[in-house]
Amino acid sequence: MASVGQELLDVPLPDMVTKLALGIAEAQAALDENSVETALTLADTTIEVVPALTQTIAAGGAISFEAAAPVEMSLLQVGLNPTFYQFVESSIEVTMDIKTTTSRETNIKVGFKAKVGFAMWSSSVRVDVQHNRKFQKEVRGTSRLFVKMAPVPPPPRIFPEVTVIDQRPPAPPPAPDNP
Amino acid sequence: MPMEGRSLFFVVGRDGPPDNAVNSVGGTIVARLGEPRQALAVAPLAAHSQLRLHPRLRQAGPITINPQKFGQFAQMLGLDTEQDP
Repeated sequence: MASVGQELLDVPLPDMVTKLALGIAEAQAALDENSVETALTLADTTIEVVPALTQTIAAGGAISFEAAAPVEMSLLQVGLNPTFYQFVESSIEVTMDIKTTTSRETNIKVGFKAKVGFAMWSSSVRVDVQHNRKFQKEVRGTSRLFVKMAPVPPPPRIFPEVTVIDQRPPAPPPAPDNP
Repeated sequence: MPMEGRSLFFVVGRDGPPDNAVNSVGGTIVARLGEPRQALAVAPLAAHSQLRLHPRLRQAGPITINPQKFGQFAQMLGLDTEQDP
């Protein structure tokens, strides 16, 4: 029967670590792919933005509005960015509960038999010896994988640099109050 | 695998508005983006894979708001200036 130390050595820790690492790599690739797909959709989805609205109050008090030509902006330009996640920490916790019991049992049965008759006799001795040795082993194992993800800044070259040149005339200063 | 926290998601419905799909995973639609099929939703981060594989959604991905760009956008629209009453 393998010893407890051997049982612990038999835990396939390298396999578990390898599988965890491969799982993280696959999950990371899927997350990145999803974020890139989201970035493409955000770049393709446009909304119409009216950059300026002019309100004119005529001498007679009539109010009119004039809207500037709408500008198409992508959601990426508006400031909606896909979130990129990264696995920052991972750990494996293996718990083993090993219980071994050994029991021995010996049964001896002795039987004696004798017969006498007509000047003859016979006897026999019968001995039954029974040895039982029982080994019992219970191994319970649980493993727990723990991974921690954190959002990270997107790759710097994935988004275009947006420069806004505002050529609107500055708003006139408010008229002073006349007493 | 349990995950904690909530996130902002960009969701696109497959054949119609994504409301039912988002609600089914415990999320809420917070804004429409142009057409009714596209929306921003707040949902548990753990629902990411459920949303991504939801049959009624064409796309779902976590997003964040870039404060610098959104600030420029708000400035362009004049949303960042205080208006006198």
